[in-house]
Amino acid sequence: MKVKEKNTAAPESTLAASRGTQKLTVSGFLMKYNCIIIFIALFIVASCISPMFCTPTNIFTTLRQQVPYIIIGMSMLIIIITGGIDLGAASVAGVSSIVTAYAMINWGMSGGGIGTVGAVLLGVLMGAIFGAVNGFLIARLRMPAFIVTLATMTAGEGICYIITKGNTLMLDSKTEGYKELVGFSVNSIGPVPVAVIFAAVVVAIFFFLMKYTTFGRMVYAIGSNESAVQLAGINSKKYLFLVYLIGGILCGIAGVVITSRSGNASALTAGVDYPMTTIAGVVIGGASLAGGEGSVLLSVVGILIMAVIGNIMNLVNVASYPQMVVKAAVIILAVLLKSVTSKKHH
Amino acid sequence: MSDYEYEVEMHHICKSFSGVKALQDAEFCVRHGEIHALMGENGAGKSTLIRCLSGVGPADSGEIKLKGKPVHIANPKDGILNGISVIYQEFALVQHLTVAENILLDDFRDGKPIINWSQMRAKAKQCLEDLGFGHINVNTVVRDLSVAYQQVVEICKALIRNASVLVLDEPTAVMTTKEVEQLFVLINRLRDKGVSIVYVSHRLDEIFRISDRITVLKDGQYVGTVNTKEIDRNQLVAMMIGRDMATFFPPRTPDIGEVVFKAEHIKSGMAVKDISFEVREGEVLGLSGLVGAGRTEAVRAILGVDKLEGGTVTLRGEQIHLRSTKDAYAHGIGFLPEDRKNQGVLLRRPIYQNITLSCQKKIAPFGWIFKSKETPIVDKYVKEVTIKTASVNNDVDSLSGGNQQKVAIAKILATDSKIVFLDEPTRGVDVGAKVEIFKIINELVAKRYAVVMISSEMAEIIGMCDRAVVIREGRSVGELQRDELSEMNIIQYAMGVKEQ
Repeated sequence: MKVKEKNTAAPESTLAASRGTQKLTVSGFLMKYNCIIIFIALFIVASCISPMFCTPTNIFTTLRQQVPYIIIGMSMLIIIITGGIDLGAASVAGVSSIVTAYAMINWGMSGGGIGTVGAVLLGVLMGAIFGAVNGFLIARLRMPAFIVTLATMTAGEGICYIITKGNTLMLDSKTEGYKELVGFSVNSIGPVPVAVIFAAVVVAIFFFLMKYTTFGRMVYAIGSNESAVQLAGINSKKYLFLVYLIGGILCGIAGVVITSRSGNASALTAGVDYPMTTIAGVVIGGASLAGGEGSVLLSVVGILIMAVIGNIMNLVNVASYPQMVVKAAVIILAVLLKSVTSKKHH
Repeated sequence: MSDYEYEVEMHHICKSFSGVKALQDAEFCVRHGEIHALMGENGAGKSTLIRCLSGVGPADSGEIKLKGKPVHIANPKDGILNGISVIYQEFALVQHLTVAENILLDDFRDGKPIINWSQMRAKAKQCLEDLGFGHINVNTVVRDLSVAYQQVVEICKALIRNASVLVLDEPTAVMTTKEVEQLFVLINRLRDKGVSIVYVSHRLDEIFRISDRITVLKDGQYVGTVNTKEIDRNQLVAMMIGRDMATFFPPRTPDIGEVVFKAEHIKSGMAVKDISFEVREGEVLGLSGLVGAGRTEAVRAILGVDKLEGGTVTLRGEQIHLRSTKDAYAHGIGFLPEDRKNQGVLLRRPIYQNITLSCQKKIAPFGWIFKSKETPIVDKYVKEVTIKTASVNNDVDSLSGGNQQKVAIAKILATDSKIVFLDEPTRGVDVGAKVEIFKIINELVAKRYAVVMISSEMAEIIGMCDRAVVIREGRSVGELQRDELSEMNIIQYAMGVKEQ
């Protein structure tokens, strides 16, 4: 029995093991949780480089910035586990961010209470529509996820510019709606920002969803071998559709969070590095782009690794363009590491 | 003519796969310019022998002589350099390139830095004309050609490589009658040109029409070589059968009830033309026939995996139409697919998740999986089918082939389906596991399950089934009761000597 081999595959399912003995060797542990070790190492290095790094202010500010990444990351994770990909996450988040702001500004939904809730739901609905379209094309019509989401990426960005006409939609800071929405991102419970708690709740929900529900089982199963799942008497198309629908809803929620963070919305959101960074985070967290593998908690760690790298570079004043090159290098390294370790297994 | 008697001589060829002897002391000699048929049952070792000759799967021991000289063929390139070309059922043609490009695929530049298109086309055209197929346009894209013409292109490609021995593996399997005629004309022409042709086929009609001599293999051993003119069908069939019946089939007292499942005049695609069978409670029905006869395809169509184009399916007296395996399971019909690794199990998922894959409703009533419901089910079936593993949390790919197959069977049993289709349940498992799988089947029928078993091993059909339906070329051609089950009877139906 090669224990090493077992451990890299879907950490959550092995964590879920309540029965049977599964020996964990040191090298097996390192391979399974290498991203945690990388994260701790990075954290220590960052603390040494800049005294600013390990302060509550910096940490919570960074975490707050990461909220949309983490929410989109959950979407990316479930899609990648099925063996798909979502290149359009930023565009979808952008549309939802803009629609929320637009509704509040132009449709009088900024009065707080029900109206603002309506604007938020409208934003999330945009995400759901994109998700449903993706799901229909990918699960039903069997089109490749890469092409479909490449198309939704472009369409979404176009819609962003159509609605905003290239301007930034500023929410009126005097309205109740503004206070409620922006309060979500600004307010804290103790030292912890509300938005960060919200992200933690989303992560917790997905942790349980992937580990304890039929839906989670089927997502992993479809990613390992869809035809076997179909022959086992399961409507795999339904689950695949749901994955993209839920993914779209998550991008929609992320869009609303983006609006609430700054109190405005612009088409530039569609060009933010959400897909790139979340794909990297999910892969650093052990997911395989071939599907069937991936972990909720380790994906969060992966996304935070990307965040810490960005944060260090900010603290030591690396300009933003070189930062992009460094991040790209990290992604290449992560995928390389993944392919090297999985080659050993097969 | 020449100072050697045989174009190809293969002596004492042995080859085993992980301990199983596929070829034992096999002999095969082909004369210059003859059509030599190679025959044998499923698994007799025909393909293995061809692979030894072509270098795709070199022999473990033995001697190969070409034109009287010993040669060493260690890989496919050696085979081609020695003038041996094998044309498999799945053509090695590049579907979206033209005829000319395919024929000259090995060296379309002719050693020059750029392609001389007109020269390439002329060469290809010349080659086609030599074979009497000058009317095939060399600029046609291969995928637009009929199967027979694709075969012609494949043969041209072999001749450009100066093939002196041409092996055709089941060349007519997917051809229409007219296409077969065209192929035969071509094969005869090639023989007249002095090419030695090895013709591997199950179809007796064709063998008797076209071949000069026949070599028969059985269980990896050489039975004999005969002149086609000096033998009749029954003698040939007798040469192919008669192996020692393995005695490892566990005994069972049949207690057979009412008909529970009936499929009539099933039609689907090219492979399934008219297949009918019925299965009773407490019975094991065998679907026998040669590989490619359409058994798997028929079951797939019945269960809604592939499109059912005709025929009726009746479950306990009620006509049903299954649209998917989900539908089948909902009706209490389970299916073990043929290809274990790609269809039967999820290799990279834990054993327990594989077992409960199809019975999620039982363990997760609201979509939330209860360990307290899942664990007993997993434990029960691990015990029932005796899956040998350190932990059910291990991935399925950590198991042996036999245990993987038991996981796939456990998955079906966990759904409580009482009608079970098993497609080649013992393929790729060792003898010990085979016996265990047979025991599981016996336990099922004892519990009043109805089992339909597809198997290409005749011994298995004879040893395990209460009744068998023989399928040939997409039609059910015969039904054999328990006391009629013999290799002779099965093979006579399977090869078209007899028909009901």
